[in-house]
Amino acid sequence: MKRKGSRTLRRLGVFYLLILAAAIWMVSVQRFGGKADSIRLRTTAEAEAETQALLALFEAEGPAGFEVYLAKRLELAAHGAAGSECYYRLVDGQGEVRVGNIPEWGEESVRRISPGVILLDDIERPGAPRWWSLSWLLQGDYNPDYDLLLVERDLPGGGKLYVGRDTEYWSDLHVFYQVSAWSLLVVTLVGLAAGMLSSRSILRTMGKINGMAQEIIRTKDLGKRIPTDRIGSDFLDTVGNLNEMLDKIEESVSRIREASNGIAHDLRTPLTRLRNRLEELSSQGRSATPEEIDLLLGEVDGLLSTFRSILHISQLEMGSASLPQEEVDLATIARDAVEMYEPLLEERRQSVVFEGESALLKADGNLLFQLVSNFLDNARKYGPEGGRVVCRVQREADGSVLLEVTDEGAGIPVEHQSRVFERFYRLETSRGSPGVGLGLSMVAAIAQLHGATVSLRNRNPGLAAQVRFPA
Amino acid sequence: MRILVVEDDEQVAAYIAKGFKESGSVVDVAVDGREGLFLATTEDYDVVVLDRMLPQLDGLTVLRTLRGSGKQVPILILSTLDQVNEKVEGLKSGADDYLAKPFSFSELLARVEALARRGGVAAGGADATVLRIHDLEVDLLARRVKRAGREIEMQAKEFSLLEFLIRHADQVVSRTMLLEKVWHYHFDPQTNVIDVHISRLRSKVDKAFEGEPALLKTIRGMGYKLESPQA
Repeated sequence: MKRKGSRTLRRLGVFYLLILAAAIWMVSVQRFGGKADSIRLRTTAEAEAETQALLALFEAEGPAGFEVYLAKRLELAAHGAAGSECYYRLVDGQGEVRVGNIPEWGEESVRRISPGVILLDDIERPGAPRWWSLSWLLQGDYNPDYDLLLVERDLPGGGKLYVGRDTEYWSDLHVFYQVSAWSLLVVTLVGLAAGMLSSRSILRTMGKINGMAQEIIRTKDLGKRIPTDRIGSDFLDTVGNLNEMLDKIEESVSRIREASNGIAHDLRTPLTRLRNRLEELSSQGRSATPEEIDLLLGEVDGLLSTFRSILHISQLEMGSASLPQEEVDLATIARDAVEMYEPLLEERRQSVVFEGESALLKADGNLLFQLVSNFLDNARKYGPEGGRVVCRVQREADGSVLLEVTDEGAGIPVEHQSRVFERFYRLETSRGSPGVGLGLSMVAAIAQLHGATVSLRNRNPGLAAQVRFPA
Repeated sequence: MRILVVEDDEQVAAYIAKGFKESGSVVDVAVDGREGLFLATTEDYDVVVLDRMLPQLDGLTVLRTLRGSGKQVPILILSTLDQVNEKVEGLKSGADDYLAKPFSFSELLARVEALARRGGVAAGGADATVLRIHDLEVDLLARRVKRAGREIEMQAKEFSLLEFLIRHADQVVSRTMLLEKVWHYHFDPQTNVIDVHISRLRSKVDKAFEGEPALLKTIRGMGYKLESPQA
């Protein structure tokens, strides 16, 4: 598993690099390289055309007239009036330069491109720096050189005519082209290095995560966590989430474990009792009296009711009981529950009152009734004899609805308050009283299903059990 | 009573049929929805006990078809689908009662008897406004109760409880039935809260009349029964 993952990652990195290099290649070489060629061809063609025209003029005017014309033209160009650039040189039959603005050149700076076309590299240029030139920009300082493309023609009757074009701008392209090639190399190398480094770090983190996952699978120890030291910041969230997920899984697994322990423990007692009674009856060798059968049935009914509650709580927690979207009045329900439980509380000489106003909620009325009656039943069991129980429903200023049942009992020590909602969790002090410790679990499940929050508060004396339904 | 049991689980069907026969009823069993629908349409039964998940034709379809064709026979749905909304769905489709599996036979018997009685009352005269048993008299309109000519003070809930019991006089009524039909809440009390209400009622109806026979009886493992004293 691990090997395969790393290969994919590396392949992906190389693939991206190749794509990037190809893109740079296409943009710089194909596009600009092609452009540079076509510009050179066009420049050459222009220079040749001008040469043809000048040769025709030479035929018509004769050497002297032509010389005057060329000198005039160069003079105009020097004042910036001749339009585009002018580079000429007229050499007579004796090799003497008659007129021209092209400086002397040595054979070493001549490059012959094709017959009659030569290129002069790096001719020293007089005049102001050409700050808009691309090469000036790229090289960072003013380059006083320029390049010339010259068309060379023999003149009838001896002598030569040179017609030039400044090719600095396509040299600039050439520079750009070179820079692109270099950057292509640099990008590729840096990319390779960065890719290798980052894939190393990704692989290391993945390795840690995988290693921990395998270890958890192997040892079945949900207490283990992925170490967060030396993990790149990009992965801290992921690792944090995975660890949090492990926290939650561990929590719910341990809750299930505790619950099943609780079930086993709490159901063993009545089952053992049942078994002992049956054994007693069978050893006495007589048929059971109706009272004895009643007792046994009661035991079995108790067990069945416990199982029913467990199933009901699980169903509620899974949210499989879909909530009907009808409005019910919590006050009516609470009043009904108080009315129903009143005689039961009176057996312990407790008084119970309902306070509150109508509060409509989208909820399951039967479940709310169950919730209120579980609170009332707890108040009855854990409140003192002769105490007062108050059930209150009120709509708060923020629109939420509060249900509160208070008693005057001993309350629940703060350190136990979160645990009493667990299945079968009972305080040591209440072990003696009837019940199995599912009432508050069911309250919590019902509240959760309705998006409500449950809280407990000691009033010294007494407990206030509250459920707040959101607005 | 003639009872039709539509149930595809043969063990459950045999268990129910045996119980009903022992209580003196005549029982037919249909093992799938189609047979059940055929029997329920062609024969006259006092009560139909209908499973929801059946081969051929599911229970709710059988139920809707029967109601659609005008059959008014009381129908009790017996199903493992025991969520409250599933119960509501069953009752809205025309069932008269809904009992979740697993069930105790005594609970089923009590409910079936209650349904059969209702059918009978509907056939006779349901308009009676004063119900009597022995020397106990319940006036449904004036909401007053008298025993041996003496008026008994009753709270509203106590009256509803007594009314339900006297409407089902001589039948066993289970605690769950009382929760559902008198308090109208489907919930699990986990305590003997119903027993406390019954004992309050008993102290007013029976204990306050020394020398008179007790009418409100506890039936072990099943529930309660309001019954004329044996002659």
